[in-house]
Amino acid sequence: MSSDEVLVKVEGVAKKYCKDLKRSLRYGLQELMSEFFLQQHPTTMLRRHEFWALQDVNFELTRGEAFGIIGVNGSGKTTLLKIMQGLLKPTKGQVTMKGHVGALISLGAGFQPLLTGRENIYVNASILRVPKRQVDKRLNEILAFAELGDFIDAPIKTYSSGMRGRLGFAIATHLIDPDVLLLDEVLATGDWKFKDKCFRRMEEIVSSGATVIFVSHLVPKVEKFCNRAMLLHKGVVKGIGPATEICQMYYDLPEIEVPPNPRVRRKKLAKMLKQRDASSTDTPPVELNGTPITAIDGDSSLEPEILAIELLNHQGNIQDEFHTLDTLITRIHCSLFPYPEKIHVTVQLLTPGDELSVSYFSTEFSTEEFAHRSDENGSQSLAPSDQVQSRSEAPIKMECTIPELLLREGKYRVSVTITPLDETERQRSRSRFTSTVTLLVKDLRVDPIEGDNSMVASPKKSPGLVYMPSNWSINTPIPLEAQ
Amino acid sequence: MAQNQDLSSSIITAIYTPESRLRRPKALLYEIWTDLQVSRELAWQLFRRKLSARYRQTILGPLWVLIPPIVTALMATLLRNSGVFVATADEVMPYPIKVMFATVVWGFFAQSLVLPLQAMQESLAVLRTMRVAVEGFLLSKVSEILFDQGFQLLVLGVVFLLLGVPVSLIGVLTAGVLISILMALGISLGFFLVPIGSLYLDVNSALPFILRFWFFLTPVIYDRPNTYPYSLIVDLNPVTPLLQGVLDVAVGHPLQEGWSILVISALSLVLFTVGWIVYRVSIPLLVER
Repeated sequence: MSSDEVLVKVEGVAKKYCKDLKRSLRYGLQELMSEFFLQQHPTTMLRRHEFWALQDVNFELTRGEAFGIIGVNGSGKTTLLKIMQGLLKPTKGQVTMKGHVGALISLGAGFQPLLTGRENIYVNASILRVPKRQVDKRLNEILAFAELGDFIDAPIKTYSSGMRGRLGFAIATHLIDPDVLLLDEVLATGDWKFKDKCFRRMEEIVSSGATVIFVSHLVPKVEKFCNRAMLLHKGVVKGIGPATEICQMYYDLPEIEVPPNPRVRRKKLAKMLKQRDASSTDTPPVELNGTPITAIDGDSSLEPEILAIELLNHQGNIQDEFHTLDTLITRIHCSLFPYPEKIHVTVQLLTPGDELSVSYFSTEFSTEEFAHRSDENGSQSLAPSDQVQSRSEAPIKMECTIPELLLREGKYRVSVTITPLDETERQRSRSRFTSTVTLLVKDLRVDPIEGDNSMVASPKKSPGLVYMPSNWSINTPIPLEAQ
Repeated sequence: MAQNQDLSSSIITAIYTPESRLRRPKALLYEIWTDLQVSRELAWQLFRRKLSARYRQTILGPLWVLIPPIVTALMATLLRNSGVFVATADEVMPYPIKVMFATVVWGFFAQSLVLPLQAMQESLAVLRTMRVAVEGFLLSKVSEILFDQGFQLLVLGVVFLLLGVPVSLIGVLTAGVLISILMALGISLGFFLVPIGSLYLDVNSALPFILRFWFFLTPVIYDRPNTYPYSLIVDLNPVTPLLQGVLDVAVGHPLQEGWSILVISALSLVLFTVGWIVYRVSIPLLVER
């Protein structure tokens, strides 16, 4: 078995689905008939209500590769895995799979709820075509990996989804020695400790010479675990290549417009109407999600809230693109009615999926001090800049200044949370309010005047989140000096 | 989807294409053969899981199997006594016992008819997420029928002994062969229900009614009619000669209608083979919908 042996070959695979159930059943019947009467597969044109779930997918995998497939929900990842497993027929194209194919497409498939975990291992094994002798031999490994303790002899229906996931993964990765292992979003239910364990197991499988195809939304994990990856978006391959590059492409996908929660929307609408009536203009308009919001009157139904978050550069101009080492000022407009005695404010920088908190700044201040405190320009000072005229009405403006933004190129989220502090613990969690904005960071500006060698940005985008100034040097052995 | 298993190299290769699988009959037959080999273990596990799960939340347990034929026998006796239909008394066994026996034999056919559809529905739940040998599900269903109806026959056998009904070994063996043919007939007809029945649940809803109707078209609780056109319906019913045969040979009567039984057997064999391939080929298309 050579290491460059191709185990998986996907050539021009496409798959169409029907959105309408009734029509889908009719097409199904037509396809069955054409299958029985040896006709060529039904038209590759789209019929009514049909759409392409996958289009022209091509790739090859050799032995020992870890291949990640990423993409937002509904991008065709699971469909592709099912075609590769032979569960679905491709509408076009051809898939060649060599060797034993193991797959874990959904956790707990084939579990019988009334039987115990141990009995289910045997049932699952026979579904996976594993003889009983081999199960007996490997039972201890499975039990050790799943860490279910005495629960292994309890009926599966009493298991939590996490426990089911543990057992499912343990069975799929220990019972068989596949040449190709297909894993679809199987780590979603496990805790972090178990996820790490699963990744260690998957690394073992890859190093044993198998090819692992890993579908997940845990993009940083894909980036870490896989050497190659593919990005699917709406059934179309957006890119295949080194995992780090593909994962970056995932973050750069245009964000899907999610309509706001109806309750939130209604509240916002009611407020806007009220504002129009009041038409007071004592504060400058601020922007929130592109909707101009003017001052807010002191209606008792209003709750403390963040009106807007603005990102400013060192000159105080609103900007949505920053470069590494720029000054970033986060300006928070909020209304605090009814006034709490003290508030706690945090600014957090997050990666797009909230997987990682890159940095965190927080401060606490008493609202009594508002009138007395003057502007400070500390590195992370939060100071109300405007004099508060009437405590009940005027919005408060706070600024958090980061003199040197150490983030590398990418899309981030700035999350602001304000917690009133004069309430009991239980109320506090309810009255806390959060708002986020998107921050785009471009790589380091090349400053021709400063011209520092170490700071010249390479034309290629560098991976990583945090920028750190670095110096390179090379020590060459000089034989003349040694003599 | 043609799954072409390359035998020459040590490593299995599977190729999936949009072509009809019937275009590569050799690969299809090889696939069925390998699946059958691994199915035994799967069928046994599924059968055990089904049985143990079925009786885990009951008090009466396997006794539930006996209740339907007993109820049918009691109802038939009541109707016969009130003169709804005519059934002559049997010199060998009492009427309620005869009805019970016939109901149990009918059960072999009725359950075989719905078997492929039920097996497909169970396997589809698994097939949506993993590849599995569907024959395992078929076999486990067959064992379930054999277990249920066999248990009923066993109890009837004890009753026969107590009543002094003459049961011969050859009669029992012949009855066994006839029951196998009856099951094969049921399963082969059932295979053809799968493609439509898995897509449209109407088939599922209609089946109990069809079976009940068919039950009354089969002379189980009443005497075989001799007058046209009723006799024609009973004669055209392929279940009649087999069922009557079982009832006859079990108590030592000679087998009648040997020729019709032979024709039905040959027909069952053909339908069974074609039906099985239809069943196999339709799987990936059904998984999708």
